[in-house]
Amino acid sequence: MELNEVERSGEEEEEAGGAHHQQRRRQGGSPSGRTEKKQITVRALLFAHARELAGGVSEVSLHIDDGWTTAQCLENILTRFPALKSLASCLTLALNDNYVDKNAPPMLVKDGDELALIPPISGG
Amino acid sequence: MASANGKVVEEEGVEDDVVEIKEKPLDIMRYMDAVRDSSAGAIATFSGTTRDTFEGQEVLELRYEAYETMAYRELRKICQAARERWELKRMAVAHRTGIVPIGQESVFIAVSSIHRQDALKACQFVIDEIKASVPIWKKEIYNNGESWKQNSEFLTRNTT
Repeated sequence: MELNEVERSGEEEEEAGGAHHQQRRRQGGSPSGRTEKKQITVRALLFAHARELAGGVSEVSLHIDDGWTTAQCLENILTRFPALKSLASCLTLALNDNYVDKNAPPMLVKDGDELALIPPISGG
Repeated sequence: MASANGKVVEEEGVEDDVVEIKEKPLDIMRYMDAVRDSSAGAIATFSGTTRDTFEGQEVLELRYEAYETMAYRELRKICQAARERWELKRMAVAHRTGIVPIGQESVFIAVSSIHRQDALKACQFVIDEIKASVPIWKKEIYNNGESWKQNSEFLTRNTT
């Protein structure tokens, strides 16, 4: 019953970055002064209530700048799926099968990482 | 020990604990047999069964889903943590996913130990930890709606 659509985001990442996009320019760019941001791909997984609020989308590819944090990735996803905002305050993130500690310093994502949106769990 | 993809699987002291997440009825006897040990004086078990009422509303059906790779990892961490706290022989933990009819097991835990206190305490620890950290979700279906449940154990642990 539940959909397992995979949404490709190739064309959306330029606008989605917004203010954050500009703030994260690399130090010491090329001699011309232009920054060259490496593009990376992060696979975001949506589970349970998060997937339903995203209209059944269970997986989203984020094509973003190297140097983004998990929080920025989440913000990107919330921009693309505004219905998720109602769940945002109780979402936990997991990066490569490890919970992201909300109290720890921001965690940077790497190319090929898997970021999961974890609504409050209810197993057991 | 290397797993199929060549990565080393950390299994010190875990002694082939059985950890399963399956979209099928749980085979309780198989898990009992998996933890049976001739040196064990006790097998403690826990079954989580689905109930037909929640706060006065009739529950027609329950559906479970899991973030499998992470759920396996968390379950193994829980088994390891139990072993660090108690003297245990073998462990088996299984969670069912998909539709679980009322009255059937959604989760089953079996632990064997030489002395019963270790198995009993480890069993309780495992279910408490599952409810606090394993990425599995339950949806209750009622006559007039449905609801994704939230474990208070998880909310307590994750309140900033």
